[in-house]
Amino acid sequence: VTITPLGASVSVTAPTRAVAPRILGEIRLVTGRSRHLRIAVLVALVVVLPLTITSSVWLSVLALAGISAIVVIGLNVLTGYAGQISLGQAVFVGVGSYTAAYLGDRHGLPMPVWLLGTAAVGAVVGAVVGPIALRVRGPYLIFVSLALLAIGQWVFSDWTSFTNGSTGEPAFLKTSIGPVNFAALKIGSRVYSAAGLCLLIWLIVLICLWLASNVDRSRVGRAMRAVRGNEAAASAAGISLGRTKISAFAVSAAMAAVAGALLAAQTQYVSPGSFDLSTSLTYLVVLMLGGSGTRLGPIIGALAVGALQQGLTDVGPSLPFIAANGSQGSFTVAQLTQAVLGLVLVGVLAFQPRGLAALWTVVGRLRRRAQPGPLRSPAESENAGARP
Amino acid sequence: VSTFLQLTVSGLSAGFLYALIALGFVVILKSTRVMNLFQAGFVLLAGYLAYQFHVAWHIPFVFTVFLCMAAMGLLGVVIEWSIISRMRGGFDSAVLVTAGLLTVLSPVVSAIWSDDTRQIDDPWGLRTVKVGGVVISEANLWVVGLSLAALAVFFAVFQLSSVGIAMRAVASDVVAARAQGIRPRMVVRMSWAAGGLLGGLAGVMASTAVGGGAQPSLSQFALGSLAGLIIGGIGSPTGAVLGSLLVGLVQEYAIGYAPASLGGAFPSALPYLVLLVVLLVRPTGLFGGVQVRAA
Repeated sequence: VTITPLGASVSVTAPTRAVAPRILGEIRLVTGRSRHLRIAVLVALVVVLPLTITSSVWLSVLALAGISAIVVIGLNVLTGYAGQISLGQAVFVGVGSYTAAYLGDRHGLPMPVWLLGTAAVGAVVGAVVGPIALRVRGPYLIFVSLALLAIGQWVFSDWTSFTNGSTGEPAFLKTSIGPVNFAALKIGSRVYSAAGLCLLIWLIVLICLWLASNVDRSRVGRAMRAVRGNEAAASAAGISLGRTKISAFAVSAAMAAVAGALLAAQTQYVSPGSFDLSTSLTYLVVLMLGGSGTRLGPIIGALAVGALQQGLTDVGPSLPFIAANGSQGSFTVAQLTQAVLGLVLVGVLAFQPRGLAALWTVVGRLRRRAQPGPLRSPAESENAGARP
Repeated sequence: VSTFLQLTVSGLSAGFLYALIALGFVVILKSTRVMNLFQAGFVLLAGYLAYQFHVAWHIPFVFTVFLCMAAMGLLGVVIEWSIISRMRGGFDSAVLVTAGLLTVLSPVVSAIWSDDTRQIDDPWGLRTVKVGGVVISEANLWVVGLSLAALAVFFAVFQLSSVGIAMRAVASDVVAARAQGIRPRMVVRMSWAAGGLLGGLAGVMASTAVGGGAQPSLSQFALGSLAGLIIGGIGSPTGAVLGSLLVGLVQEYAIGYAPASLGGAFPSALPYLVLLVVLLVRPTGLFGGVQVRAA
């Protein structure tokens, strides 16, 4: 008995061969058009939203959410795709901030240089950390990230010639590409400063999103998901665990570093206190809340966490047990925020491990079930429902 | 030379405390394979409870120790029962949940007791013993003695008793353990209780003896014990103890001898540097272990 591969036997059947391309073509056209539409809407939102928001508070919320979205898009590649948990992401952000301050402020280099420079430095640092992380797996990777945090704190606060120690390093960065200066964006007669920077940040969010979804679609991305699923099986299928994990670390560290550079440009100041364990945990909250391993999860999570933080800042002072000075027996708003974020992390992991992005797919599934397309067989709708 | 001996004594005392904390990590890790970062929360909370019981409510210190241990043991069981046992996400998300719980606890502790250090009057007695020019405080002796006692109890239970054997059985294969009539849920719950008890004891000792008072940095201190744990080898409790002693010594010597040009944060980063070197050279830890693998 010879075993014919299923695909081969199907492709020789005449009716299938005639029909299949047409069905496939139509399906691809439909999803393609809706994807183009979605991308167009996303781009339009990114351009319009910063320029229409007038409240400077919410503009800064949006900008900071964009920065954390960039970090988390990178973290998503590492954790969501490749399955490597990292509590050390804040260190990569710090490396980016200090590198940007060094290149852009001390040496006054233009934006393309400090932006690409930090990405390169971040990728190198990530690729150096990768091999150490290769030595351990699963929960034990936490050790390596804790080590990274401690060593990062030491370097940031004690390498004074480069980081200016605990006093902090000023970071007045140039933000223009060619004739366009994002920190003083001229459209018609109006000049946008904070909004321009916010726009720049969100354009880079889009670029990172595009890069990450290309990684996801490519051979590298499939290798990452295989490694996440089962390392032994992935290795047996010819995937190099080392190369896959190191590239995941390099990509995520490069994106974190770029976010750090933008953070420096936004706050114009870098200090070692902003890159500690609680910052790293906030990025994990964003990832888990948005939906680990999904494409839009990081953005949804970053916006949700940013809005939550600002909401608590607004509402907090009027709540009971909240005091500005943080005396005994009362929370400060910062402490309240930290506690709430911790609760969100626990709640999401315990009750909705697939995050907010999963709610989106639930809605999509209901819609598909409500209007079954003429080309969709029952089996196919079942499959569509099961798809993550 | 006497400086060296003095540093050795305080290093060993810190090392035994690290070992006690590390043991709390190990006992849960061994039977459930969950890396319980909230162990640092047990230490932090027990430190503050020791202040509350002993200083604010004037409960005798012996009872304070037992009360803190019991409270943390109970908290461990509650966490396991209410959250960890209900999760389906696997070990990695359990780790993140414990990290999340730690993030919730630290601001709550700061809100209740404020960020200031809460001094606990020296309950161990301020007497010091002088041995050949080296001053040893009785508190240090208590730390070493109690840690050794706790370690002895741990090894006796873990290696010899039926509970310990059940824990190891559940750790290696849940299905096989169940087939032998072991109830994994009970075993897991007991190991969380044991982790809480050890964390409670360590917390009281950390807030009274070594650090001087209950303070927010106790959780950082507790997480520092992870370095010794992995340096020794995760799979081996003996290794964890030896690794912790090594970390305690190395840290004290760094405080005593490291040049100032290396910076003030160097002693706290040093254990982690040693950790990274050990991982690169000998990924199974210095005393062997499972679960770790060369790439």
